[in-house]
Amino acid sequence: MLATLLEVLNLKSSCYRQVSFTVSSAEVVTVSGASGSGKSLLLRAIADLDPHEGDIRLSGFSQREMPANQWRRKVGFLPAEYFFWGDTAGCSFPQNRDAGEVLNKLRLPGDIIHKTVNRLSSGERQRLAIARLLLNEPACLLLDEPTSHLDNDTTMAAESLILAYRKQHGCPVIWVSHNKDQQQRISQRHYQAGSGELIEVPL
Amino acid sequence: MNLAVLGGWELAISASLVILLAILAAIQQLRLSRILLISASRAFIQLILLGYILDTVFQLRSIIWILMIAMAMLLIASREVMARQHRRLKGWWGFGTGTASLFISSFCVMLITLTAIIHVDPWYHPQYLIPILGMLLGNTMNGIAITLDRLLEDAWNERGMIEARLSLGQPAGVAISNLKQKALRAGLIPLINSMAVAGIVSLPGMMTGQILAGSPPLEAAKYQILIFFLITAGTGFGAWGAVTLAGHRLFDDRQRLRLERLQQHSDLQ
Repeated sequence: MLATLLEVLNLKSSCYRQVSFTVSSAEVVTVSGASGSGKSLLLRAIADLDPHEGDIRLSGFSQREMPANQWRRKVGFLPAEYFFWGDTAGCSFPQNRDAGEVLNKLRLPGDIIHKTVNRLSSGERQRLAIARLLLNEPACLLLDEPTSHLDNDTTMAAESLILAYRKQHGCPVIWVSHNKDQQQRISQRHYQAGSGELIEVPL
Repeated sequence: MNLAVLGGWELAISASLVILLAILAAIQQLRLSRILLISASRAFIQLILLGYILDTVFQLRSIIWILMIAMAMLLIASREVMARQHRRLKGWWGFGTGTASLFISSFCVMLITLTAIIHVDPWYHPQYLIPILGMLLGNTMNGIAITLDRLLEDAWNERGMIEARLSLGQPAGVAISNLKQKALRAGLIPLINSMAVAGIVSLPGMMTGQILAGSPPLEAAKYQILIFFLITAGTGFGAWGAVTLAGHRLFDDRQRLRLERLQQHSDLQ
């Protein structure tokens, strides 16, 4: 099994005073907090989409030492809103990868990648975004409410796909979730975001 | 062939058409009347003044004076490029992007024209330099303004898409490549269209002017072709320079999209 370690050291940004934590290989950490408490901004800082201070390391490699695009490919950020480009869903998928198996596990028909994205439902789009992210083979997963538009069955399917991927690739996972049941199902640790801090709370 | 001389009365008739349009726009509440009238008045005053000034300028033989006039034209055109953008880059980049793009395109094309195509001696002869530069600046200015406006507006609106592409590991240049293409198309399409129908649907402005002023049509046509090609090259290179510079400035050294480097501007009311 591959192993990756995510370390956040003294992260300071518009939203955080100073935050440090570590997520070990194949560990799932959930984060919750009120709107505007900075959950998404935490993930954006780790993905290096917003300016911030402090150091973030992936298996010992500092964010600053790695070219930005290479870093982002590795940290695998799934934003809360999904965007696609090109005429069909498949245009924004990594090329030369067979999407069939992943789509199947997410209970999507294989031909969905030939469809126009704006004709799809929000749940279908959300699952397409998950599939696209996993096919990109990141070494870490930063998921911002990845199942918010899914019903119970497809939520379970998405969870088990993501958790299996995490296991297979030894991925550290940060998962923003407001659902208590989900937090208990998937995570080993839980953080509460608010007033510029991240506080570890028992599940 | 005689030149039909225009007097104040003749110009007043044409001006009344613009005023009629402004009144119509006001009735329809299109919020266009003010800027339409201001622009029309500016064109009138500026061109009349230019007529007087050029009389003097064409007598000039000093390269320094001529280049100073050329620089002044460039700076005014740059200001126009900036003023026509709904969102523009903050600080010196806002002005600098337009100026640099106009400079590399218009000045280079002008130099090639004067030295290699028309063979003017000396190359800075004002009777050739000033009109050619004016024609180039006027057109490249439009193309660059449209291109930049489109690129910056799209970058603002498509933030989610750009960041989704960055998040998947695409370099900044790839993440906005489709916006750059769209912006360049928008900037060049009016020119491409006008070339495609030149002489069939429309008689281009310069050729019309030359014919009205008494030139043989074939000579006028050749000059028009030359000007079309020069304008196309100038606009194309200028717009390309503008998207390259602005596309660079939209991202920082970590290839993050930095939309706070844009500011909104609403003169178009």
